[in-house]
Amino acid sequence: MATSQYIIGNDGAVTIGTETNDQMKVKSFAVTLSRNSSDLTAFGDTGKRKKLGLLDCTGSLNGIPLLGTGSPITASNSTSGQSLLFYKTTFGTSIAATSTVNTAVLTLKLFDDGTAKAQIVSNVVFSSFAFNSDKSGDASVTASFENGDGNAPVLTWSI
Amino acid sequence: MSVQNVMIALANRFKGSTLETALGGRIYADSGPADAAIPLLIWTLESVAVSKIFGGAQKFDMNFSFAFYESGDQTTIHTRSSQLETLLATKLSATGFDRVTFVRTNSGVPSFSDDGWTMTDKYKAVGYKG
Repeated sequence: MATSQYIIGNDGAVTIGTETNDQMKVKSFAVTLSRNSSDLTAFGDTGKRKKLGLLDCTGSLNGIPLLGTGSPITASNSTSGQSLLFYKTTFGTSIAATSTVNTAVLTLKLFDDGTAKAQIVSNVVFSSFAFNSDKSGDASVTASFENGDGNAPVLTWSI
Repeated sequence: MSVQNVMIALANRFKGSTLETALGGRIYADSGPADAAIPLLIWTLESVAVSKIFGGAQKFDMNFSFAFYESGDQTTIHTRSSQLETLLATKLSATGFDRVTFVRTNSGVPSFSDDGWTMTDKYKAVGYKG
């Protein structure tokens, strides 16, 4: 069926587990669905032969950090940082080889009308949070994420 | 209405302030009355840029100018400028906004004409809604 709507950025929505609204609001995101490509070309082939690997999901979120009204939490190890998005998924229990991978459900909707029509959902780990603050008025945080728990990201797209 | 709330909050910030007293209450938005006595201050909201955030929040970048008119020496007009800076150093509470922060982006230099000094300071105000 032919498509009839162009997606514009304002159509989207983003949620990060249950912690998004507490610690950052997302202004923009970039996401890449990819698979590793392995070269299996052999003698006798007259062209390249390649196989694709498992699906990965990587990208970044750019947003504004939020300050809550509760008591401050000082995170200096994986236990005390459990409730901080900026700490938990970066340095949390996932760094221990024997522990459960500590991921957050990241839902990136390119079109949001209350139903799933164009979205990517992935259980991600955040590999970095980069904070920027400018005395003249702007503050931002950029988070880098990667698919984290062995499950493939789920793509939903209306056709 | 939303930006208007910032303007109302700013006008309220002036009320009873040292600056307002020093200017004899002559602080006006956009334009003053004809033949108004000086000293006076006219402030203007010059531009508002709105950027949207996923989840419905919005960021407002507002640029204000504050034009001082002073009949005394040019030192006085700098004093008024400092009083304004002090007045805007603390966050502004505007209905519908998280809070509004003012940052001076341009400090004017006094200019003399028509038997009086004028100087214009510019501020950037940032506020979030939603």
